[in-house]
Amino acid sequence: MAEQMLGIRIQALRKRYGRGDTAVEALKGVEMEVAPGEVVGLIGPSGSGKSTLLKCLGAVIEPTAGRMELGGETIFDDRWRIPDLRALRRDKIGFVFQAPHLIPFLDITDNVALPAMLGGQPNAAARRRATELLGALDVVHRAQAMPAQLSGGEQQRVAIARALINRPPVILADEPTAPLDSVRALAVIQILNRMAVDYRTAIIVVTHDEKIIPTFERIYHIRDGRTHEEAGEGRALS
Amino acid sequence: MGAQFLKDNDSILRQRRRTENNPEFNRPEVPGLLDAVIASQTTQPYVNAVLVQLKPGADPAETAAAIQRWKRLEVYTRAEMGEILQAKLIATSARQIGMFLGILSLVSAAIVAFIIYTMTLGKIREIAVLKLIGTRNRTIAGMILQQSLGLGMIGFVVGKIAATFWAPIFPKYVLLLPGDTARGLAAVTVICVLASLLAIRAALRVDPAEAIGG
Repeated sequence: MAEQMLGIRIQALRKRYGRGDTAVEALKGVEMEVAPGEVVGLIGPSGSGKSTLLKCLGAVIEPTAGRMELGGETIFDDRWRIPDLRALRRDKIGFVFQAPHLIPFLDITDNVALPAMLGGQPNAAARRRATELLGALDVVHRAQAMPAQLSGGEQQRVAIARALINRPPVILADEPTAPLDSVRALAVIQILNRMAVDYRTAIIVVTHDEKIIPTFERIYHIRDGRTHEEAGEGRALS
Repeated sequence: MGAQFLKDNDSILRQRRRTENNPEFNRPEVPGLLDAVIASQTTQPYVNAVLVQLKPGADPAETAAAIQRWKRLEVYTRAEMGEILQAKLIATSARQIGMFLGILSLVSAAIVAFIIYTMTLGKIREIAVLKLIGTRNRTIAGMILQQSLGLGMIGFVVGKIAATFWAPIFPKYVLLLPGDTARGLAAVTVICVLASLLAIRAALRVDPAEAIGG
């Protein structure tokens, strides 16, 4: 349990948009815990509050109330407790999106190394670490290629490597398998599970993808701004 | 001493019109008379200007004052003629070229601004991702500025090469000094910086939250 506190802990998180009669409460007291090395699914219908929750966790919008801990550090407790949210996003949170959104004019190594370089790491050290990660994700042979030369699955693996470059305690994956076929989608989830274990990272995967939902051991359903935890099938990934 | 036997164009045209209207010269029954008279009038011996070269030691001002006493004569020294050429003819041409340059600068700034702005709008999602992963605003602004300057430098190099090779075959020779090249480069840099401001403003307004969700 002590280790679980180093992942993600969300308590009574609320987010209200607007004021007065037109106010909309998107999150109504969300509770969530993800341990390091664990991958959990976050599923729910459109408009249920998934994106709002991800934006709050990603420190790009401010919750109205509640408490959030990332990597054992309280980042929000009714107000932001971290002065530099940009540095928080860079150092503590990895992002994987539906589309890889790689920078088209940087080669694969520099795309992966970019967040580390932005954090002030020497370029050579950042590129070395990027090459290691590309090796771990089986795309090191494309290290010098440009993003447009890679397949969708390869690009998504590069995006995962980019998310891991600063050794964040948390990765937020927003529909990471949506554009991929079954084989590639399961491969991405397999990689996320392996990375979670290898790098002791807590990963939340927001998804609608029926192909990957049975692979989660724990799932959070979000509906009308509230989360409900349930055990997943945890189907083995071969 | 040299003399210039020229009448100005307006004077020749006015005289030709008078001759054509004169029935004594324009007589259909005597073909060729009118042309002969006009040819005679055009090759007239009127002196239009005289170039005077003074003997060594002669005072130009004293000589000019002596000639100026004659009616309808204007005298200009070498320095005054230089002034007339520079201040009137060359300065007028320079103003015209300057006006063209000004208009071209505005047009090129608008084109660069449009290209950079369009390219930036096409990369809004990538910019949102860059901001989300912790890129500073000034880094993003610097990238857009680099793109604008790169575009400007390509245009400058192409323009400089074209000017160097094409200038000699232009009907009117335009002297381009190394200083002009340096000033051109400075102008291109300023134009590109100004042209990128709109795109930088658009990029800085991108919300990193746009990278998350639909």
